Amino acid sequence: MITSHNRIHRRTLLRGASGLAVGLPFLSAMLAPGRSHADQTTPTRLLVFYTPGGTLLDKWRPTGTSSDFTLQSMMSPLTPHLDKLVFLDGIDMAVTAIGNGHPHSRGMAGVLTGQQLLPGNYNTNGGNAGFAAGPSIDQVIAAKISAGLRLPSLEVSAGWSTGISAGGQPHPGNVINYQAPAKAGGAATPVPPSTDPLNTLKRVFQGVGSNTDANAKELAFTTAILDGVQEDFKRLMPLLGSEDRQKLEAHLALVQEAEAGINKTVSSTCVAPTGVNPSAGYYDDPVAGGVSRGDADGGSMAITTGAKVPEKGKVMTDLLVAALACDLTRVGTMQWSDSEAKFMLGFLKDSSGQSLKDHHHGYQHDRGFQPQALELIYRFYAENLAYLLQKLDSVQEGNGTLLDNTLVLAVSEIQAPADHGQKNMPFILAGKAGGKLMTKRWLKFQGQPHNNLLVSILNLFGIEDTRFGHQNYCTGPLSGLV
Amino acid sequence: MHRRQAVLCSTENSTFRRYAQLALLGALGAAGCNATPEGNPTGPGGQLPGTSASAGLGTGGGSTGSGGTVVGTGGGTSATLDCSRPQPPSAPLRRLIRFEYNNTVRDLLEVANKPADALPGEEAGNGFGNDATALGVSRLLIDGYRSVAEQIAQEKTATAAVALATAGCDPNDGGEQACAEQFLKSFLSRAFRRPATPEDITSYTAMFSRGRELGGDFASGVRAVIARALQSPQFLYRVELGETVDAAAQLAQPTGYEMATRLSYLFWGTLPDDALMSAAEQGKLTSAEGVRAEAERLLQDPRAHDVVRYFHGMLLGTLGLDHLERNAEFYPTYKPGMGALFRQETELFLDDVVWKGSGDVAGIFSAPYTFMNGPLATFYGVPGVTGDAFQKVSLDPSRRAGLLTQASILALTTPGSRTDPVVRGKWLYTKLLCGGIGDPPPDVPKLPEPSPGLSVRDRLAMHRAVEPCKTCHQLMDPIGFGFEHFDGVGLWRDEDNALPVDDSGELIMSDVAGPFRGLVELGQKLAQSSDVRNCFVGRWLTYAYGRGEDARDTCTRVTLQDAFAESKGNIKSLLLALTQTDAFLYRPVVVAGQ
Repeated sequence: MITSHNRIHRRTLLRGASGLAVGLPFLSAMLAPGRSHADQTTPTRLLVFYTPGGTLLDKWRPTGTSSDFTLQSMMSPLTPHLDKLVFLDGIDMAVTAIGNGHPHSRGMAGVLTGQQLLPGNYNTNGGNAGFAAGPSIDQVIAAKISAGLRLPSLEVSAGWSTGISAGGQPHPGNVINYQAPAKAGGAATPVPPSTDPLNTLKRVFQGVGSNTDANAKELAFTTAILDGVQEDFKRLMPLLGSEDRQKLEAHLALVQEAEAGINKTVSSTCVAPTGVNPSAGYYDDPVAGGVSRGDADGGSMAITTGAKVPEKGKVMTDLLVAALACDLTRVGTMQWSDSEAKFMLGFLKDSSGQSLKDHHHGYQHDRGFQPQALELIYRFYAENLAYLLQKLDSVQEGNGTLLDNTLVLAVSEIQAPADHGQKNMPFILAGKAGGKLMTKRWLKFQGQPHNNLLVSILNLFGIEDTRFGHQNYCTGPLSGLV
Repeated sequence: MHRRQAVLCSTENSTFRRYAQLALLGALGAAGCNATPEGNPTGPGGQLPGTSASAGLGTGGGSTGSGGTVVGTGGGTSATLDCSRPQPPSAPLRRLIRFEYNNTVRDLLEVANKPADALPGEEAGNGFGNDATALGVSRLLIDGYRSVAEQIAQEKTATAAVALATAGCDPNDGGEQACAEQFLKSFLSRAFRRPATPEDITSYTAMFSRGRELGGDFASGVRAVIARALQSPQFLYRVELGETVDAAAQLAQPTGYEMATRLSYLFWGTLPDDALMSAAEQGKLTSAEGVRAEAERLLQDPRAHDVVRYFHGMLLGTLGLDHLERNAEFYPTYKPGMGALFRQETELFLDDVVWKGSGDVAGIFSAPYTFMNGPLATFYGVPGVTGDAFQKVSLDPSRRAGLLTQASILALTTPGSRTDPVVRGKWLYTKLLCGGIGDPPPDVPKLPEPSPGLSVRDRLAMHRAVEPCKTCHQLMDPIGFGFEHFDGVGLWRDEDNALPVDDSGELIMSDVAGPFRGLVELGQKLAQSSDVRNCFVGRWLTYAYGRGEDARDTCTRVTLQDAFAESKGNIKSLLLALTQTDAFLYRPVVVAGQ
């Protein structure tokens, strides 16, 4: 009932434009010994794990050798998963040297796209900017590996759009996922994350896991309606001029994708997560009150308490893992807030048992660089990355686990919280990517551009481009990712 | 000299058209330099004669020439527009924004709970969230449309009785088919804002049948019809096919029904009422006079207040005030939640000025009153006002008048705890005068830290002393100094940092350039300024037409500026004038496939 002719996959529109397909000397070298592509029967998944504000590099770095290393205290929550981790040390986010707006925004726009941040109307507290110049790798990969699934990708967040400039809207400082531009040469389309666990649960899992007659009828009902909606689009589009028609084509493509997605058969063993609290507004963060502020940018708008962030983050993580386990999608992103990170962290206590009293950005530099508080914050993120890895590792798949079949890419939009430095980015890979990634490595690069890492990741998923993102800041796959 | 030129002449990312050289910029010392918008400041209105506005930047458009012709240019070439003939405007396909979606389902189906608030926020674009060239679609949005449509359809057919009320007829009295047909004819005509076509009826009759079959009852058929219609492009988008007026000139006009939709969304943010649809049917909306007559009717309805409130909220940035946070050490009397009172004060004030009071821009900047309730009056230190209801309050004319002296503006122009004349000056210069200020160059040295005995004027001395700072900062700082008697929550202070406040300021550019002392005098300047009026015109132009301004709008802008000036800045007149322009009365011919 769904035709796939004439569908425009906007994620694929510019997919092939990033480089020629050429024989890749490093691809097979990235495979663990004894494995080959032909061994793939379970699909490989991609997850992006974003945390704001960089890291404390001297505490992030492991100690030891490249194959025998230990983690320092700040990152020690990841120690149980050491044998499935790769620390990437010495990669620079070179493309952010160009582009508009503040480094935070340039970092957000560039980290998954390898592209510059285009001019535009948004105030980034460091000049105005628009959106990224090209798609992000997760959307490019989703077009290939998630096509026909319930969702092409799932983006979720624990706290989002917290800054004064954004006010709940997509903004260059708060999105990292981008679909291909609607118009060649135009800005890529930002993909905002879902901020509501209950809404996400419904969107992803409605009707899943229970093949009752009632569910089948509801699905048939919704499908019939979507068929009708598609008919309405198809009747209207031929009457319009080409520019307006293109807008409707993009919209129709998503309706078609949604209809195919909700009709995709889901394994009867799939179980929707049960831990999502159904009360309306349960996960909303209350606005902070009566908090003592320093003098620098205290923000004139909502600073939320962050009280619900830990719980919301966990439940969103659970939803992401379940979505992957049930093969409802094969690509996802977890955003722990955004580059403004204007939320409190009162749930973290310092060595004297005092709760942190300022917001995230306050500790980065607003009230001066405060490494003791930052160490607590980045350790909190490491705990949550460990939680994600543990959940993935607890799902049995084939001869291994879901973590074995996933590539997790942990990123931030800067490295240095005090001066927004974007060299030596704190990138971590986790999971075995279906056996295609050799893990338990601490790899040191001498300032290769991060676009090269993005190319290597594309290659891992069988997309054989040799360049991705801005051509001037990419020299090929990441050499040394062995 | 070289360094300044390097900064102002940055060729980075010159996606936008370059501005031609301007005599004024020569006066500012940037002679002989082509620059990107980010490099050079621009005067009020953003442009001066001989240059073109960049669509979507929101910095305002061109200015008038003499007589009936206007010079509007693009890309450096000069083209004269003959404004005695209608000029086809840009008319990109517009989509309902959340504000409009909520109003529309309220009027279409009596849905009161603002379901579109659950949809992802709109991209800012022209600053109003309704820029047709900036709005994109995402899977999250499309899934959201489906979820909201299904939820509404479910609500309106939850029981047989509710479904009956929604359908407007009784299937048991005359048969289901007859009732279904009657319902969907009427419902689709209203939802699609034009009479249902035979194809609509055939297709949706089949939809009804399928829904009825799957769900087992009449209500299910109605539910299917509603859920589909609310996801259809004829509902979500304001489709225009138009009628050709002059093929050679590629000039068309909206059909009667399409004009009804333009009018109802401009004045009410919702679908046309029965009277508008009637007027369309009777061919009354194909002439400027007919359009104006309906516009005058719509202006009387309370829903027009909602649109004007939305417009000002987006323009001024007051919508986020409900979550205003302030440092309790600096502002001990400010309590969280008071920001909402600041916002309400400004909303009630603007509503009063526009609809009841002087009705003009001058009133906005110089009216001697405002609105407060008990808690807000206590906060301001105004006696004699109690209770939660807001009431009109006279201002101390030596200190306060109009919008600028309201806590809302004073707070939202103070991002930290200390007031910042640069932020305030930039806000006024860019928002109210439509001036352009580019980014600072990289590696600016830090200003001295605040310290006892150091006045804010002295702290910012570097801005006046050296280039490239001076060129831009002279447009901002001297305006911001005028605000200094007011702190970051809008309270009056005689001293700052233990030094007496000096609120003398200066407007360097604009038709009311010159020195002033304090916000009351500054308000009086703005009240008389044609640059302020013309900037306001540009804001309404982009909001009303749902896009940025471009070279094709030159005649439209002239029409609006002239009408606004003639009415001495009367806002209701401007709203009516917005319907008498080329941009509103015409559109380009729709050529299928081109």
